[in-house]
Amino acid sequence: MGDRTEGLTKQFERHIAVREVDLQVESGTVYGLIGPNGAGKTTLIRLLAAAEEPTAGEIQLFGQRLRLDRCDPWLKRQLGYLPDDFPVYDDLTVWDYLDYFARLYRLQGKSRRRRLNEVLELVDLAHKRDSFISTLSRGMKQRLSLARTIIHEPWLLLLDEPVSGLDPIARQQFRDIIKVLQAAGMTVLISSHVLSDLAELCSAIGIMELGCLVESAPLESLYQRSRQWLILSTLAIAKPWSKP
Amino acid sequence: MAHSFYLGDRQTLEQALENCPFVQEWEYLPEPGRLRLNFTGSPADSAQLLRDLVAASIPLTEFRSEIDSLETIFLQLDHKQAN
Repeated sequence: MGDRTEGLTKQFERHIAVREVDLQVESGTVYGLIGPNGAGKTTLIRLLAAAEEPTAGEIQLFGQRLRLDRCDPWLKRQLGYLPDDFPVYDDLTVWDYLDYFARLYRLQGKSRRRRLNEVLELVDLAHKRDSFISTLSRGMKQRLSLARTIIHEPWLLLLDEPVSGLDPIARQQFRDIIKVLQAAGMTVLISSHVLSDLAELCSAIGIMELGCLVESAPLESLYQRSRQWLILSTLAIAKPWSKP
Repeated sequence: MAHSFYLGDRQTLEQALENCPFVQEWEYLPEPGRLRLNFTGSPADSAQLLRDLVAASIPLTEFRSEIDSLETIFLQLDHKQAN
């Protein structure tokens, strides 16, 4: 069973940010969302995260309708949402930060400590557990944010521009974690402008323009429609240029 | 000092490419002796082209296929700007 939207629309006063989007994401896959700035990607993700109420249309997750105000708490607990500008608390330690969110999700006693250790291992921050967040690099802070997002073991992970501003090594580390989460059965929806990252991670891609989902297809199908090139090199002879 | 670069046998190479029905267009890349062909054939067709080039004594040092990147596919779409 996948997650889907039907006719999903969000209007802010006179501006339609998301327009009649029919989206289908297969369970256990990584789905990439791309499009120019202002195309509606962030609003679509916020709708899926139950952070915005749709103006029209509906969202079905795990066979249930997601509603902002009155959906099953179990359903919201299956969501993990990493916004593009989520703040971390610089004067907390890594452990205290995660512990705070774990308590918000009502993780108890030993299972909470076990889960914190698990996610710290996963995001490769176990050695930083007692460090203040202010001392972490940008890549570490982003991995910590991801750890916070998955602390309650959600099944649908919504990542809005998670690698924005990260260097190539930090992006590689982030991709590796996403692969582990997918292998564990999580469904991931990720938006990014770094298309080479998405090409490595995703099995399907959605393209947004002016609030509309103008394309949604398996990556393989997109490649089949692309041009094929042959690169040839022949032995070249360099000859010194001689004056006439 | 400036240099001129010569392909193995440019005329023979271009003739072989023109004879191949799956080569739509080609361009010389900035590196000496290097070309990029838009190829519409199957892997078997590209294998046949390779055989033809070798039979024509073209001194090949590289022959490989590649497809457009996701970025190129995205940029080919007709984009409307929201802002």
